[in-house]
Amino acid sequence: MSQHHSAAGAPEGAPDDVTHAGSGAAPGTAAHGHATVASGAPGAAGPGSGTGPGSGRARRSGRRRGPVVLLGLLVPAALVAAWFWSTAAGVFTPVQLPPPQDVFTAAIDLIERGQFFQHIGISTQRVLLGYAIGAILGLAVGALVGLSRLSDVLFAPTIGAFRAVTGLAWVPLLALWIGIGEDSKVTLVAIGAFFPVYTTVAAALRHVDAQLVEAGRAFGLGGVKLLLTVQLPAAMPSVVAGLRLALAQSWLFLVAAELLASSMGLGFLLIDSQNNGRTDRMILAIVLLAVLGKLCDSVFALVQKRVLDRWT
Amino acid sequence: MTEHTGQAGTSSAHSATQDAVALRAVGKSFSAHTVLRDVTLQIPARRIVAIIGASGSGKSTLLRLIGGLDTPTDGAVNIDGRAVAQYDPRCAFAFQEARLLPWRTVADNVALGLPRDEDRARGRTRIGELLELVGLTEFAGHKPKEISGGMAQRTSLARALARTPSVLLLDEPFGALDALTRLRMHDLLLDVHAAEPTTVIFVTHDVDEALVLADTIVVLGKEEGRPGATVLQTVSPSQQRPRSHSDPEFTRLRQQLLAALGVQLRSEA
Ligand SMILES: Nc1ncnc2c1ncn2[C@@H]1O[C@H](COP(=O)(O)OP(=O)(O)OP(=O)(O)O)[C@@H](O)[C@H]1O
Ligand SMILES: [Mg+2]
Repeated sequence: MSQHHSAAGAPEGAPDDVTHAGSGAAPGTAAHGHATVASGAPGAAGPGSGTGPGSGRARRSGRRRGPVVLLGLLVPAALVAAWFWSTAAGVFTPVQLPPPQDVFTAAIDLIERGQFFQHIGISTQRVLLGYAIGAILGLAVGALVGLSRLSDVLFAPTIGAFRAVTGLAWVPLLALWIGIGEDSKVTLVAIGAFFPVYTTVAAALRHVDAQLVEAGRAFGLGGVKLLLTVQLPAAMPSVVAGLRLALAQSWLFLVAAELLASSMGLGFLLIDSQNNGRTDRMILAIVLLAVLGKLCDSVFALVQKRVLDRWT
Repeated sequence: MTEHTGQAGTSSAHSATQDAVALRAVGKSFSAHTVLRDVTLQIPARRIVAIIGASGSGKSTLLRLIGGLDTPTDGAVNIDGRAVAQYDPRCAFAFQEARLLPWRTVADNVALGLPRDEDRARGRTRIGELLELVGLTEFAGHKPKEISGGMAQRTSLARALARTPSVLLLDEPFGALDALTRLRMHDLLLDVHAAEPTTVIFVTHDVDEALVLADTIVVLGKEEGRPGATVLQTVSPSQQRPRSHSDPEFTRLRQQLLAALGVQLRSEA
């Protein structure tokens, strides 16, 4: 045992000069009586229940990605095989569903004409630009509404109402106001990206564990410091989830924009091919949209995983 | 070891020394629900005070009022003669739950407790010392989800100590610890208290723990027919620390305190 005697008696004054005066309460009892009870009674009074933080200590065992990815390709491969078989067996006419090799040829044809990468390029550009604008605005407005009661009360109902308007509904209005150039498409994609980010950021910041925030304040944090030390990191996983959702939604809104008014891009390829009866190109456009969207999402999933590792 | 002064303190002897913490007729209600009523306490500087009482008797609430985490409905709380401010910087708090930032390592969580103006290099040394004290040096780089509940609690304790506060407020700081670690933490608390001029107020459910550590034990509880909990009694063992469980006074006070709590439990039912 270490020496604690120095601590025992505290400075001057009798050891019991902690006093209280509850009205009518039993007086302080500290008189030294004659104890006759046998010593060494076993300890009673069980310990309190201190709850630890979230349990889940186990780490997901990683490094088994290869086989999983291959497994994920099983269904697409089966689909292509079924497609191949059904068209070869004449279940569908080539106008209804051209065989895979026709779609492949259509892709080669577009590449040779120099349009393939033009369509992909312009669509990707619209998505990335619109997404960046929408996400930044979503972060800013979401943070404002999530952190300030006043802005929440002021703006949340209005933003919520606008959110209820489907993306397609904006197209005619945007065409009227901004014209049918790039701006209107980028704006529509931005609208699509804005809402998922706004919603998740506002909700995440509003629901940051109040106990953690209180702990931060108790240790002298406030304002921007509290935001950077506690609130933002706590909201981080949700924010990234919102950003990922927004990227997916950007692709959806892109097609809506390009379907209705455009002269380039994958949506345009789709609608233009419909007008020309080119089912092969329509299918090509859809496959490209699927692949691009999934690719973007997969890249983001990697980012998300890193963020989750870091911030939880 | 069982030596004691023989002259147990006479009750309610007001000292001339400045009280570090003074509660005057403090009451706390949440809407219509009265939790604390008429709590008056004077705690001299450097004293170790234990608060015991049944679950739900308002121990945490009382501690929060002292630390400025909440404001009393009635009465006033002073530290060193000045009213307690919101989240008073003179206090450091170890919550009943560990409340660690999940994305920070154990060491970085402890660093949160350092005074805002602490020099970086000095701060890092201090964190090293504190981790050593609470036995978590090996786990300095671990995240909270990778350590046990008891380790989290010790991290939270180290975080509070990092602040070198004038009033250290600990809400069931040893609740989740095994018997051996608990004894080590008792020693740690007494060592820290001996080394630094700190007033310690801690909540515990364990009467023995209170009797081993505290200069004064405050029993919180309800009085028959009145709303809210108040101070039922204060007990100040005269024994020097380290205190022997076999000392007659220890045994007597232990029974007295258990009785106080037991009566409380029965009247609640
Ligand atoms: N923020 C709050 N709002 C409403 N009621 C509260 C609040 N905080 C505490 N209470 C009430 O105050 C009472 C005392 O709570 P407190 O946490 O202080 O008890 P305690 O003595 O610390 O209990 P335990 O030993 O279980 O930790 C409880 O009845 C609780 O419901
Ligand atoms: Mg409590």
